[in-house]
Amino acid sequence: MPVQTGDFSASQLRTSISRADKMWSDDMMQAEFKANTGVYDAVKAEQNANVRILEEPSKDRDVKIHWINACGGKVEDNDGLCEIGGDELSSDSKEYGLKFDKKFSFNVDEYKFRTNDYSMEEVVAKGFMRADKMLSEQICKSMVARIESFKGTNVVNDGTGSVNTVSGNTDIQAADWNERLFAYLHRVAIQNEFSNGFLLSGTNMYEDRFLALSNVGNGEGKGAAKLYQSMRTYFDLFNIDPQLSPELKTYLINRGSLAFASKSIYGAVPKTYIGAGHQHYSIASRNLAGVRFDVKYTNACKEKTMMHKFTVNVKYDLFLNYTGCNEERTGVIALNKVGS
Amino acid sequence: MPKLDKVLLSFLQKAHRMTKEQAAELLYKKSEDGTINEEEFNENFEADLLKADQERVKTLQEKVDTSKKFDEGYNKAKKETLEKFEKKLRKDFSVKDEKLNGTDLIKHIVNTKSEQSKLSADDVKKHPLFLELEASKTEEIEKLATEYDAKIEGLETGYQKSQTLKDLKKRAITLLDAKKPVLPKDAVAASNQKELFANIFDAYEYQKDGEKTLVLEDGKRKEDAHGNPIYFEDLVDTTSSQYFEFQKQNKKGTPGEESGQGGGNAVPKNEEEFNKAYFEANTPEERQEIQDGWDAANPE
Repeated sequence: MPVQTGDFSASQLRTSISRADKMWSDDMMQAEFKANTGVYDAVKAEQNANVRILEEPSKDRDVKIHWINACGGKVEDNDGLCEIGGDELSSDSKEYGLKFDKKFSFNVDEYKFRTNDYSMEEVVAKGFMRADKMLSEQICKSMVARIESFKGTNVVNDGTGSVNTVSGNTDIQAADWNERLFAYLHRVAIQNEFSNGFLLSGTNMYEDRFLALSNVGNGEGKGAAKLYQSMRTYFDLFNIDPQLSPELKTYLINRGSLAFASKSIYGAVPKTYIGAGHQHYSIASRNLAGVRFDVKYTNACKEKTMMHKFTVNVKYDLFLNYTGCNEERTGVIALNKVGS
Repeated sequence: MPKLDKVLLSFLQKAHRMTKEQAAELLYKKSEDGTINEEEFNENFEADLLKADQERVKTLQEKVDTSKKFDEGYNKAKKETLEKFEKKLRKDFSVKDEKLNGTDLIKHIVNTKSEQSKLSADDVKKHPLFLELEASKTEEIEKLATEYDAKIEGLETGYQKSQTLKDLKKRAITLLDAKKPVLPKDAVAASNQKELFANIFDAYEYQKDGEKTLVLEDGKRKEDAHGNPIYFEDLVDTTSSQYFEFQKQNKKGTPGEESGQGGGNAVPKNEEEFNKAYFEANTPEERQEIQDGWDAANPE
């Protein structure tokens, strides 16, 4: 294997990306590098806000989010006159700074590839995929923390659940976590003025729902399956429960309440800064659609070898739609399983 | 009517060559004084007759046994014949020694004649028959060599042509892919359709013209309506348009978020554009399309 000398070139980067593409298409390799991103997938599926990257670096503002606001106006007497129309509905927008900035670094020793079966490009490809997985899962963990912080007050204080004024959760007994709960959940959504609610859950209800949907063909199972399917439900079996442990939670969220934003500074084409000895570019995440990671590359002499150094970082955050019809109702309700 | 005994007597005398007395002794019983009693038959007539007959036959056999005489005669004839033959051989082959007989004579003749007829290699080579055969064989060998040289050259040329055609057909598919044809969703059907397309180019011959490949048809260069030569890439382009529809490419982006990045549709003109398009592509599929387009436009 010939030793690659000099900087990690654009051509080598292309080769690395190509190798990563091939590895990603292999099921076994993909299993090693695919992140668990249920939270992110759910939020992006239900996001209707428009996020625009702010390119001006002077401000501590990274993104501008355009939220859909359906509120405004008031009820008046109908005087029967020809006047038609009222206040203009607005799309509210706000600028935000991205609070989370995480990085993952790896080094590659050039001279190890003199007798190695792998090329440097392959090792770098694996480094990028590892960084992608780690950062993607970190993003999801951060999102769970944010969602938890966004939870509002449930105005429904009767029925199957009971509002815990200390924790802010709506506590539901373990025995009630089955398909019959959906009648209550629909009432909660309606009474909290959710226009289009969905559920984001850890392991709560996962197995019971699985069984119910499997039994849909049975005469007795149809009802349970129909109830479970009456509200869109997303599961993340890896990121929600560990973050909130020992609590086991499910979130009832109104569509459009959340918006995820991330920002990469560098363009996709590598730029070399000879003076600083750096090369900067961004690469697309394979796990999180729409997310790009910034990469900073440099190399340095270390004893008898050359060390190629890569730092992959991402800036991101999750935001709450502040234009809800009632400022006390956030669009996020935390449902907590209690008891055994 | 003659009496049976008289008939028998007559028979014995004639067929068995017995005398009257011998026949009578056999047929009639002898009295005690030894005289023949013609009034009584010999009770052992049958046995005595058979015995007498056996002796008669034995006598006959001794009289006609001539094998010894025959052998003597045969050997004599054989000897005479051989002597005549040996005499002729001596005369024909000028052999003076009369003590040589039989196989010794034959061996002597063969050895003598073999020595007399031994030719040197040079003599053989000068012989007209040899020269004629040599010329004939040489001509035959040269003819065969020419024939097989032509066959080998034909095979080599044919092999090269088939390899060139194989490479060109592969290139045709790459150029087709770069144009993003609308293909069946089923992978096998799509592959078959592309293969059928590539087989269209079997009908032509090809000739290198610098870096390009000229298309020949019926031994002549293929030309367009304006008399311009047609090159392989042009042929693929026009042919593909006759067989396929092509997708319109849309710029892809994440819903609700401006990415400001993404690959373009056109094949990059230089490596800088290629790098830009490649790095800005968001998915492996987009990158592969860009790579395919670049490779097709820049064959190695």
